Amino acid sequence: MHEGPLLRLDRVTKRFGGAVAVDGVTASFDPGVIYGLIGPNGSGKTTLINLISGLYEVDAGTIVLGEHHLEKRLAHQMAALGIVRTFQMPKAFGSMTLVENLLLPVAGDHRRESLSNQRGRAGEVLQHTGLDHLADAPAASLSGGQTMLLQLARALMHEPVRLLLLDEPFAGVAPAIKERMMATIRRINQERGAAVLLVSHEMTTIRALCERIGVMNTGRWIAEGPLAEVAARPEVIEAYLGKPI
Amino acid sequence: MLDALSNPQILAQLTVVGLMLGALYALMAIGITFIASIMKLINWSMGEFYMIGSYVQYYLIVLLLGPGLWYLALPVSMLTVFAFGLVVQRGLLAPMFKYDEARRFEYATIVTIALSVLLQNAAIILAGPYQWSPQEYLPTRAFAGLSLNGSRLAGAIGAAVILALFYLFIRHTMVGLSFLGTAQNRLGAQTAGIRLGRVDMVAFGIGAALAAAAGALLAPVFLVYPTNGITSTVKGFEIIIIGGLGSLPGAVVAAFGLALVESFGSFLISPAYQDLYGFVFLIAFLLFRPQGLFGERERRV
Ligand SMILES: Nc1ncnc2c1ncn2[C@@H]1O[C@H](COP(=O)(O)OP(=O)(O)O)[C@@H](O)[C@H]1O
Ligand SMILES: [Mg+2]
Repeated sequence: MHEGPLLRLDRVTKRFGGAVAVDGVTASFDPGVIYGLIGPNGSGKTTLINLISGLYEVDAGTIVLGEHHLEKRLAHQMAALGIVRTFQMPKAFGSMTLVENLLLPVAGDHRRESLSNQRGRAGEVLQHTGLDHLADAPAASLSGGQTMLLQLARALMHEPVRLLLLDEPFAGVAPAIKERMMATIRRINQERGAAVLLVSHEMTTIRALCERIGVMNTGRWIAEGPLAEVAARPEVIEAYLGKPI
Repeated sequence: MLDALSNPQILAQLTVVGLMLGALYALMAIGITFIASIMKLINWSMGEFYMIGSYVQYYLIVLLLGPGLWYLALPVSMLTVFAFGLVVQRGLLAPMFKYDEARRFEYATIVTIALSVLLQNAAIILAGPYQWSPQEYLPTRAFAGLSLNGSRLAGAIGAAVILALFYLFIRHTMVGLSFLGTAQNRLGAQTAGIRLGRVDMVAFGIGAALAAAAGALLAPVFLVYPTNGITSTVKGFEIIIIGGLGSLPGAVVAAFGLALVESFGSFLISPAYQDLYGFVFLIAFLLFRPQGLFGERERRV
């Protein structure tokens, strides 16, 4: 059963002053696939994520999820469509407990499910991510890595999740927590059938998680495909200044 | 005068007077700081919501319910101002938030200042420049050797009940949760699916209703007239500066602190300057702790 791509970007462009951060990106993403997104620093990866998730408005081009145009939508409308994201600087709600952090997406979408059911689900998700012993601790007490993990755990509470956008989620995270994060990403992908777009510099994690990768350089989308195939392309090697990736 | 404080009876009386008033100040301050924490907006028309609350309360009691049913007038007065707050937020403030990312809070703040002047003048035109007072809410009574002013006691009990309900709402309901999240991080909350437009509107209404409750409960004590909100605004701001802008616990602690300072100052120096003691207290306090009791640095995305 093939329903065509989940997300289509067509000549998406974003400028900051004179600088073009994202330059005419055309790409499409299938449902249920984990994509890696790599590229040198400043190549526009974060900006692209911010455009897809509605944090920035595009200057030109279109972003279409299924049949919905996304260019003019606000962040909460994106969430309602099933676009869920994490931030490079994790956004936990410090003075709220971990359970309260997980319940926030539920508070947002006015789900008709009892509070005790939702609390139960939050408890299960915390157990899955190994944070259950901290369920009633304020999120401010977590380490940076745990906060990243909490952001991912919160993604599991969203309904629906069609596209998960992850911007450098593993930066500075201890290996043990990284393992749990990867397990959680796989779970969101398999259980929810969500496509994932993962920005990361860590080729080992990309290799372990991603079916396909996209490469950006100076705002442009220069390659897309299975890792081995993409890594062999001359323009990709050139973007990385001849270093093999 | 100071040696009178060694008299436990006087000490207890001043403390109780301070605590009763403190609960009412807390109502006003929580309203201001709640709106500020959600919308990052200082609402300068808070005193006018207090004023409208006191008028609605007064007219309901005098024209409709009678003095015995003041406690029924209270929720009606709060609901009226809540609804008015929704309209003000949607009609006057939300449009300011649509454009110019950087300056919208300044624009919205100026709108609240203009609204404050407008409402004071509207009250003078509609109700006249007179001072009114409903009858005492409860008779003054003696308890354990203390003299308890009935209206202040009723006001303190009413304020305590409203604050308890507010706390339960914020901490133990899903809607309350979305307020907490928005107060901590607007963008993070929005990304989690919270509709900020709706949260802002309801939060503004709730804050306005809290001010109205203070006005309604204090109507027999501080009277009902077009500019009665000015003093309450000033005190509200003294409290949230002492408590730390955006901190709910800070607002409660500072409200009781201010009321106690006023109570003791009035006895030890002179009741004529009651409204001045808080100001002096504020200045003295800021010299030592400029960020306030529970002041938070602004959180950013
Ligand atoms: N908010 C912004 N204002 C101005 N320039 C920006 C902003 N965000 C990103 N840029 C610029 O856009 C380019 C792409 O940045 P970014 O998307 O963060 O790259 P990456 O995430 O791939 O490292 C960079 O040159 C960066 O300086
Ligand atoms: Mg980046």
